[in-house]
Amino acid sequence: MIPFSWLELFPVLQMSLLVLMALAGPLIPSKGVVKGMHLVGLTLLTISAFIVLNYTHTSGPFAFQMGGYERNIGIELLIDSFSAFFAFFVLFFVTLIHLFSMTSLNLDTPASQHTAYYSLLSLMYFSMIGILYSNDLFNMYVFIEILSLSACGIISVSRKKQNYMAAFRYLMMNTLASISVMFGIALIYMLTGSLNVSIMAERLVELYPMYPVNVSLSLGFIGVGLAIKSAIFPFHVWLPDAHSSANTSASAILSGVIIKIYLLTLIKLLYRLFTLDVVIDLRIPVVMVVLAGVAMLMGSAFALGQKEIKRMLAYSTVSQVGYILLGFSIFTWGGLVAAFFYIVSHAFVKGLLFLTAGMAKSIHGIKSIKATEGIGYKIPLTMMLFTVGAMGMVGIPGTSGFMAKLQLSLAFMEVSRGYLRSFLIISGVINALYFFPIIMNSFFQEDNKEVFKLEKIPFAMGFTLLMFVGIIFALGLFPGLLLPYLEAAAMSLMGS
Amino acid sequence: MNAFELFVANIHFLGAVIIFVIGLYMVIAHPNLMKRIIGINVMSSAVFYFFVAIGNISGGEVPIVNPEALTPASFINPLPSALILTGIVISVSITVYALALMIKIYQAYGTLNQDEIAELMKKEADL
Repeated sequence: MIPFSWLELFPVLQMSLLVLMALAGPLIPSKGVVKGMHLVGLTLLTISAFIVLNYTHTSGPFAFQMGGYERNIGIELLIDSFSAFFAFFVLFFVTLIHLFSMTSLNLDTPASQHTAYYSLLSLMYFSMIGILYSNDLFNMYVFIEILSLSACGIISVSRKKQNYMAAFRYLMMNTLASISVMFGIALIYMLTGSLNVSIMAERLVELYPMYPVNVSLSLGFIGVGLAIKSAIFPFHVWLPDAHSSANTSASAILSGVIIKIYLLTLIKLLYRLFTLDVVIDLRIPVVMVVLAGVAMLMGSAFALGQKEIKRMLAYSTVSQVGYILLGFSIFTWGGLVAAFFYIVSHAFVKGLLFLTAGMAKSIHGIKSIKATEGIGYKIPLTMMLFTVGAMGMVGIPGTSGFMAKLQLSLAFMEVSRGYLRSFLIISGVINALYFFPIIMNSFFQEDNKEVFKLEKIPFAMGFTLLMFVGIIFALGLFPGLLLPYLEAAAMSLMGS
Repeated sequence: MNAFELFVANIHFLGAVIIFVIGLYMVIAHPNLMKRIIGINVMSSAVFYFFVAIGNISGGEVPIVNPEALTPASFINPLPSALILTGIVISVSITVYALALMIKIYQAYGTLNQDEIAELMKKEADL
């Protein structure tokens, strides 16, 4: 018996703190106090998540039984390199965004909604780390529901006409997806009689040959549900409206982490619940490659036709989901590591792009791509940061986007499926095609009448943006900082 | 087992699937937002029905332990019902939120027909 360490209480404490912050927010009359409380809380949570991550790194995974019930009956939290790393990543990312939102929220959201906005965000973080930690299928479903409801909530929080419709569409698609996931859970619960993922996986080894229809139907329903939620190509219809109409900090979070959480849930269930043999037997890898390829090409093609910057970025997210899915689809260790790297890299790159595009929109009123003519002289700092983001997205060497694509292509070479790289190249070229007009428009205008003048960026926003740029270059130049954690995370998925 | 017996044995599951498909049709095909919310509710009810039917044993007993007459084989599995309780709460909160959004949409556009709203939004975007 391994001695119980007080560190093993951290995950539960993290989740409780987030719920407490969400509940305490509306009771506090001063908005400044709410923002400060969330900042302090999130910083503490990030530090604690880092401690947990290092703990799992050195002394291995640990499980926490809620309420001390047996794992067959109760709810089990399983904290291993995978869940601990991504919980840390989510909390770190949202802490930076929170710092940004402390100023940016005054610009794009009515003041009466700030407390509600932060409460919803806290609930969202709570459910995100809950999904990652939980090892109980129904518990995971409940967290998925909380996540989708609060994500719809933060879209409608801006109180604008088009936001209501975007939120409604998002809600309808999300609910359809949730019902589909629940149906899948029912089908597999029928067979296994347990909701603990590890126990179900053990029982499925025997049960799959006897009831292949049940298992494949269940995989189908859960897969489609999570595919809708993570906006894999044919199911992406809700994403452009939702992500482009949300306020600046919310769209960075929606695009940066939320859809990734659903992808991670999908891959976690494929490895841990259905196990690799079943997945390969049902030809899921082929389906995933096709979906990923179509998503990469079509997402980029749609982005090419957009007139609004934020909508273009939203469609670009659709194509980037394809990259991540392509990394997962080869089902090797290298593919997993590359896809994880892509998830982290894309979060920061797309976060930077959405934040700068949001600043251009809310501070300077620049919405459409046409309006970007000559703005490189008016708001040079914002556009320079946007350019760094665009470079990361296209994959210029030195940025994290390049390193992520390199990892992906190395992973494809390893399984001698180098032809998959053609997707990367074509989609990368289209990426460049829709980012460069904006940059060319804003900086290289011949008959320019604007006077070159550096604009002021508020300190909190500037700090976040600089951190993002720093991380993008740090990951691009020294991927070794991150890789050991990702390799351990991939190992913990493969190993079990 | 012939087809009729199979049908009778799986009547709950088939019923759930039929209700599910009716709900799905409502959500996808109706332009009226109210009807789509109803469709979502019909769909989730179908899944709840399916879930509860998993735990059911025909002729089974209520799972309250009676120390005098213990017949564990015939107890109905209480876990699905307990899970569905959570599911119903979630479904209610989604409905409440959707209805609130619907009120706001009606105030903003003056209609609940999705096609008309799409046209209005298009006009606004062109302006």
